[in-house]
Amino acid sequence: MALTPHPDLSSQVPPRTDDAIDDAALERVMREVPSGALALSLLTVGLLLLAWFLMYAFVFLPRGMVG
Amino acid sequence: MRADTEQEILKTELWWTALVIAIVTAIMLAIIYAGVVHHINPPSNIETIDPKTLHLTGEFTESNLGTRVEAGDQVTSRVVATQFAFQPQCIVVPSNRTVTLRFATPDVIHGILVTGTNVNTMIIPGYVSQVHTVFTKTGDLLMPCHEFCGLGHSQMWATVRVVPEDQFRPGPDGRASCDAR
Repeated sequence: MALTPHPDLSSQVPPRTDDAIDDAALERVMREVPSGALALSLLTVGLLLLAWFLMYAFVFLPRGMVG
Repeated sequence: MRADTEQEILKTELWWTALVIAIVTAIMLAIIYAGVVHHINPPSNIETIDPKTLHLTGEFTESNLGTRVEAGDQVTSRVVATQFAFQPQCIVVPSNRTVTLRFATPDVIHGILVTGTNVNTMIIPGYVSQVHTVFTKTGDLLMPCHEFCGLGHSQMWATVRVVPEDQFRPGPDGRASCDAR
């Protein structure tokens, strides 16, 4: 079976643009991303922790001593 | 990346690290509180037994299985877990009294839990599993094997019959069984 030649990836690389514009956009994004990640993390970990404490307080403790 | 943006990210990461440490500390304190104040601890009995002879000699012989009131009014139930049944299949215990459950197995690893309670332990060949507890609600509680022990695992269950203390009437030999009720 004949091998197909590997496509020349260098032809697909986008042309270089002005770095100054990209850096400014990156700065804007980097200021927003941590806040979003933090909000999402607080929500998910908070819900998990709430579920744990509800089970602890209303199921685990009332079931009484064991050892 | 600008230095102040990098500082902001570092600050967020440190803040999150502190929060995680606080969460883990709170959970550890809750577990210590349950252990010290409510006496809810994982069973920690370490006692060995020969699985090849446990049915021939000692406390797990057939005639000694089930519930018995022993010295000091201590209620003890002994159960053997085998593939794929508990012997006996029903044990009767009084409510609102400390009960000691003792388990042994001659074959493979089993595990038990009693529904609606914190009773939960593994039963490992060569060891006696022991759990102290107080049953506060009366009724028939299901006690299934919760560790896959073979093809008949799903058929392996027993009943813990919790009766009011005034209806718990052991015989002259101190023994109490579900059949006698």
